[in-house]
Amino acid sequence: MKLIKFILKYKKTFFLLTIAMLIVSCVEEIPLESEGFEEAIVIEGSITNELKQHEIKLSRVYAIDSIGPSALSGADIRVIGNSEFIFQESEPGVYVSRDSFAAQPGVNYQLQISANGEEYESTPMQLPGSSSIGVLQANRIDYGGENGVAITLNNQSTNESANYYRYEYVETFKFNSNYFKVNDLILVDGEPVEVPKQKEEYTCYQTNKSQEIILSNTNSLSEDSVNDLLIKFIPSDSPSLSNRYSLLVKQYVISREAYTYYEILEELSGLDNVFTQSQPGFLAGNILNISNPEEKVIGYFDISSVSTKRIYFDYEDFYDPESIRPRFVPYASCEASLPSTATLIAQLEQDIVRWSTTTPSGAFMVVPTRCVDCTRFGSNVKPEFWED
Amino acid sequence: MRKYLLLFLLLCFPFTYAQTADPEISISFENKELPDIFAEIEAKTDYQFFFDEDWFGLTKFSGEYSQTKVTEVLEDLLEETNINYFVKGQRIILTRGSIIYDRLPEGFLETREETAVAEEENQSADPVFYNDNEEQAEIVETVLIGKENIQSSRSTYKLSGRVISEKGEPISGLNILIPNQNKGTVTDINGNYEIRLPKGINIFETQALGIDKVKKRLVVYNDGVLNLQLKESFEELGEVLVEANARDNVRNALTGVERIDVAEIKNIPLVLGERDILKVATTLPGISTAGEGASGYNVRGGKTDQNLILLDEGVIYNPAHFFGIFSGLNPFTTGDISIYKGSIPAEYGGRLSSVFDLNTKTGNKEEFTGEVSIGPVTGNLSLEIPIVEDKSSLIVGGRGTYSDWILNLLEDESLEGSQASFYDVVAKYNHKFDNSDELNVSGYYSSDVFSITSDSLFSYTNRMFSLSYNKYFNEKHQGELVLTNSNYDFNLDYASDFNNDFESGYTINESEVKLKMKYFHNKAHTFNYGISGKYYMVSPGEINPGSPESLIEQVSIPEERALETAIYFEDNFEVTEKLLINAGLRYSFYTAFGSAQLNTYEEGLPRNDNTATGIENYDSGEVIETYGGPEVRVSGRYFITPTFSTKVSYNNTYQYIHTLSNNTTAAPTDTYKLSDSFIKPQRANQFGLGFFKNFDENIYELSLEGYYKTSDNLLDYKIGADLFLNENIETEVLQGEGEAYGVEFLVRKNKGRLNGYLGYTYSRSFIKLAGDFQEETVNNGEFFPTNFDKPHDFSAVLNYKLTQRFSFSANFVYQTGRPVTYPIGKYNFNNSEYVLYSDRNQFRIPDYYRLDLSFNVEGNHKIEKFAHSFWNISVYNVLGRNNPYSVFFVTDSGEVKAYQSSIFSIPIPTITYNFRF
Repeated sequence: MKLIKFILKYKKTFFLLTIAMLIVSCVEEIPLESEGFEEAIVIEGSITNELKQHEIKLSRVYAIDSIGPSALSGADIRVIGNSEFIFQESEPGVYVSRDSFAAQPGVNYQLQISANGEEYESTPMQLPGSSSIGVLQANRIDYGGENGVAITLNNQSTNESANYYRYEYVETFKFNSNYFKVNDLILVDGEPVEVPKQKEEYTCYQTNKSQEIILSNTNSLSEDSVNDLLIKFIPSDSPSLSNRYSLLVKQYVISREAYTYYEILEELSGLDNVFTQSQPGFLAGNILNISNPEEKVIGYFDISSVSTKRIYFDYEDFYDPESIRPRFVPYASCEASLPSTATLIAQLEQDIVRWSTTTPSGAFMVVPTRCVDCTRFGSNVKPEFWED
Repeated sequence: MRKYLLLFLLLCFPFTYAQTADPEISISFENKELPDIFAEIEAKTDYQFFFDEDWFGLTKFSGEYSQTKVTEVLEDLLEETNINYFVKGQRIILTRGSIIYDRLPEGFLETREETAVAEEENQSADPVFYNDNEEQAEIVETVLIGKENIQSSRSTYKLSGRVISEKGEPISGLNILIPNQNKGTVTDINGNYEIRLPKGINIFETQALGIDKVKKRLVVYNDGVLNLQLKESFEELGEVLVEANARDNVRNALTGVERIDVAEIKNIPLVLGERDILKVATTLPGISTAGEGASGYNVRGGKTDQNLILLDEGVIYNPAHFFGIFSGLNPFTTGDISIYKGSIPAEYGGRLSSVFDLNTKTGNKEEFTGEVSIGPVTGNLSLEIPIVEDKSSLIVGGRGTYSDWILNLLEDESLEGSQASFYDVVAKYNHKFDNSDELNVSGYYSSDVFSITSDSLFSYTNRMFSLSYNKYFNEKHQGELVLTNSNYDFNLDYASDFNNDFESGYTINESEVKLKMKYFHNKAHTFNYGISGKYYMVSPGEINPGSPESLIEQVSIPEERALETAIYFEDNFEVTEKLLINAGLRYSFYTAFGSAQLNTYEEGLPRNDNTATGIENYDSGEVIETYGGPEVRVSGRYFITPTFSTKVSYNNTYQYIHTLSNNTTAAPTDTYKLSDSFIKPQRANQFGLGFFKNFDENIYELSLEGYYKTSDNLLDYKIGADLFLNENIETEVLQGEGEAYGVEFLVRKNKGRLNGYLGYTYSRSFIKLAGDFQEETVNNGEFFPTNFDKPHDFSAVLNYKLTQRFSFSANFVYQTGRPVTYPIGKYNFNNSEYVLYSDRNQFRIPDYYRLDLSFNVEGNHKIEKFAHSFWNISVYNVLGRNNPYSVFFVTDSGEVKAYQSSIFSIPIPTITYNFRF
């Protein structure tokens, strides 16, 4: 039931209310157990209208209770378009085109792979129309019973062949440690010694790539443009909002077939409600083994046109600058303590405390490292693009 | 003749009538029962009485005699009874009905032919003898009517009586048949009947559409009375009905018929104390659900859309509340339910697997009565209201939840504005014009509303209206004209913060006219025939902007219309005493009408948007496609011994309407789709074989049935199919073959302190989806288990009566876990993990088992008491077994997680209170 899925789509938690609650129905997480295993090849590849060396990744399916991924090396990859583009393995499982190129409209592109002695081929694909992101907006709203900042997207009216969109984003935010400290304690010959801080530990940056599948189509809308599409919702208590936040949104205009593929992939991997479950099964993409069409090949080869846009905003834009800002570590866990020397030495050896103050008597008060050292949660290197 | 003579000699010792001197006694008694009076006479005289106490009712006698002959006292006492007496020496022998003759009847020693002539003339008061051997040929309770009177020489006698229900309400319109005379009558509004019968053995049968048969052997001696009480009473179980059912089991020609006496189910422990007719049905072999929360029933390996669920002849599309946790049919107003899962009578059609035929009770026409039930989830009220005394009555039942009220009490912000409630109402008006005409009008409405998330609202409603007019033309011919209209719709509304609010909905509406005729041709043949026409209107879906700001575009999928007509003829043919054949033929014809716009697709390619070549337009009323075919319904019963029968059956069925669902279990959001030029009707063939045996005067019933079923054109869907608001459903649909077989074993104990039943089913159900193209093929085009294939299914429902007032009940269920599609590997794609699924239904969730217990307390039985109360204290899932309902896999923050959902994972105690007035 797609509409229910649609409704459930953006919920962090979903709850089937009501009598069911009175009735004690429950959904609990269970361990993943391996119930047999089947080999399959996974192909991740997208050629865009950006002039660059495009990348195609090959991997294998791995057992459900193991940690992957397992890269597939030694394959021969080429994309046949107006000419043939050869891909070379740059690192295990990652293949990069030898030359830079951009997908051109009106040209059929076909992916050809030979790996493990098998030949795989995609159906020929064409570049759909292009459309650029108009506005990214951040607003403070209540959403699904939670308060936070929503980043929404509007794109400009598009040409007719651009109806299906997929989005990826990269979020980067600047944040601070709970406390700003100027000194550190180090062990010199087994004794704690107070020294000035050696590295930046107060201001850091964290970068995360989107993991969800964000799709939009303008078919069911009265206007042929994307309006107020929710890209990201950040709850008010998230430390990512505490200083300055940036979101880079990448819009892919994709084919209808690719859209359907992602939509079903999302549905099959999304939440079900307690009472109904979508029939799961193998989702076929557009890549086939030529000699054995029965083989399960995972992945979709798509040609898309890309447009990107970045947005910045500060904590003060939406919240009272005087309010207590959300941190990775709650302040309650950041109380300073006065350990005995032996304890202090042990804690310093394990790197779990940092200098807080020195008492008039010369004893060291300490706080947990997490409260002072932001590199525990991010990088202290300012990203190149960052604008303050 | 020799047998008669033997019997006669056994009865006739060298008796003489009142040989000895008749002593006189003085005796007085007040409000005493006959056996006590006889004991007194024994004490005062040398006489000894011989009789069976069971002959006497609870009638009390008063009298005073002084110096009266004993025979005179006896004449007085026995005058109003059907007891004769005979004095032999010091012994007084009481007999029921028959006079003990002291001489041979006239013509007794004459030849057979002459006897026949004598009978025809009916001039002589021939004594009635009945043949013991014949009696055994078919075990039917024998009732003696009237007291034989030597002087009587009438050829016919009057049998009259009254048929009342458990509550003492008259049952009107009940057909009373005397098959051996090709005679019959109907009870009037007061439940009274009168029929003239020849002296001797007559077979007495009651019959009404939807009411179980009662059959008795009457030995008519004189005018007499036969009153019947049907269904259960609080004072005693309605044994007449139960026994009648019991014999039906062996007698009937149909295989795979289950009957549930709704009054009996009150003791069975159920979820949250909700008495639930359909849940009880699932404890019977061959009927199951996919799981505790699943709506829809799987009958003999059939899909959930293959059941025709009729309430007073009208279809109820979704008889479930709150997904499938409760059934939507009111247990307090429903009289009885018959489930045809094997042989389907020719009268019914349009579904492959089964017919659930439910009938609402007829209201009490004499006094106002009611029943109230208070449980933790719902409150119930049913009322029976006489409108015109003895002519018309109304029964009204309603049920509603208190959950909204509870939700409001919970001070949880996230629950604010959320809703969850359901209710249903049912009403039936019955009007009896005279002895031959009767009108029934029924209505049903159910509504469910709940929030799936805090900003969405889901609601669905069922609506049914039916009108039936029964006409009794003459003793041989009767008919019923039925008009019904059913409607099912659901709405899904969503209000969000981002201009995409919407309101969406689906509706199906059907109207049917049906004429059913019954003709009693003779003892051997009863014909059923009729014609029906059903008009469907489906609004497959529409979506509208939910607010003026919403940018959702209005979309409405064009309506579908179709007409399903059928004509049928059925002969219930009693070939010999042992062999009964029920042979029926139904011809159904289906027409899908425009207006419509249908895509055309390239030949030899899978149907999808890329292979669409154009659009074909059909005007309003233009025929798009027709389907049809004969449906054979044959079954036969053969008595191997009088209490042991075997039955065979063959059925074929057509189904022109299909649910669209890409879920593993049925859901209220499933939509119905009519057959069109792309979607062919589903078809099925079923062969059945059964053995039925009753023991110990029908106290034990045993049945063993097997079936084999094949189906064609079963609907399934491509993975991830988008079915709602899809204009081109044909691009998402697969049609395949089905195969199902099973063996069902059921043993019942109908009477006694411990009663109940055990059922075990071994069954399999498979489907094959082998399309011409890769994308239309599932599991390489081989047969695989359906989502509801549960090979082993065991149920036990037991009731133990401590006393008349206190009883314990237990309910145990064990089922093989249903098949699921499990991941067999993980992969990374777009920074996230996803799972690769196995072939469909390769694995199973763990087995399901559950024990429920309940303790029942009946209020005391004082008649003067205003209300009769009943308490049920029950614990559902006593063992606290966490039965998984489904297992699913979610990609959350880039990682795959496995979840298991279960509906009732801990013991759930409940108390319900119920009283009637």
